[in-house]
Amino acid sequence: MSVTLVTILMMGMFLTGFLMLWQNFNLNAVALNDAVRISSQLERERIRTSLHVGNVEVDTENCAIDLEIINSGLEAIAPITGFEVMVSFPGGSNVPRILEHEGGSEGSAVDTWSIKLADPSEAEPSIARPGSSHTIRMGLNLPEPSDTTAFVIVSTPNGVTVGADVTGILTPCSATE
Amino acid sequence: MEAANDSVVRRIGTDVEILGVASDSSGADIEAWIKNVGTYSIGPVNSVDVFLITPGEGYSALLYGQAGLPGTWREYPLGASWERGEVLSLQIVIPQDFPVSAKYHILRVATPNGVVGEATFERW
Repeated sequence: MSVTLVTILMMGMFLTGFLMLWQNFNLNAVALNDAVRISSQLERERIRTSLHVGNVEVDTENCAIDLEIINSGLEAIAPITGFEVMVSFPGGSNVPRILEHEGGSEGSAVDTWSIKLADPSEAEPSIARPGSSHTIRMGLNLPEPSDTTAFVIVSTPNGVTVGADVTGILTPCSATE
Repeated sequence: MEAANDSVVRRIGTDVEILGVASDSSGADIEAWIKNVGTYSIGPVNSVDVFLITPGEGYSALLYGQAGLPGTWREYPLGASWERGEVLSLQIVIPQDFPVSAKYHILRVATPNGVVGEATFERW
């Protein structure tokens, strides 16, 4: 009788241990599976994201650059305010910099960028749908003289970049506040 | 086992993208912008490893240093965090033995948990 009880007790302990191990294994597997799924989803979005540069215009009077970007990928890019905009001056004296997004105005503040809307009543100003184009306006402060070219890098929120050479800058200049 | 699993999960979810590198051949400074495109924050920032590689010429492991000495790097602004979606600005001062005559170089950045981002750049 006592042998049977001990056997049942041992079997119960063994089964409990096995179930606990199994649960732990399952939780780890789920966490790993989630990480792989999210990571591959982000990678897929990156592969489907692409930007191209259209027109580039220099506003020498306001020390500003207007850069047209075209969403040439298959993903909508949102929000546009999540873009990163960087400017450097190859062979020049002005310091390379990352520009801050300026939400309120049209990018005339120093070292900021904003979206210049072609039509103020645009329905989705903060989403770049595939095939659509938006103009980024950059206001700069360039105190060092004789830099005439710049290189602008624009990055999407998921890290896809496009670069463009900009010529015709007249320095020194500063965007109006 | 759970710790090992957590470590693997964090590694899968960690990713960086070097957005741009600005390097003037007349100066000793290199500026780089690196975005955290993963799902976790990365840190501490001073534990990030930064390497400059010149193919066929040399390889430099840079030290973290806020004083701006040759062969060091620092984040800008100092003390910046590196949360998900944030761009980390790096200011690098090239080492004294850096092959300045070579035009093309590679910037390699490794997060504290070993995820690597790499970009080729040209000194103007």
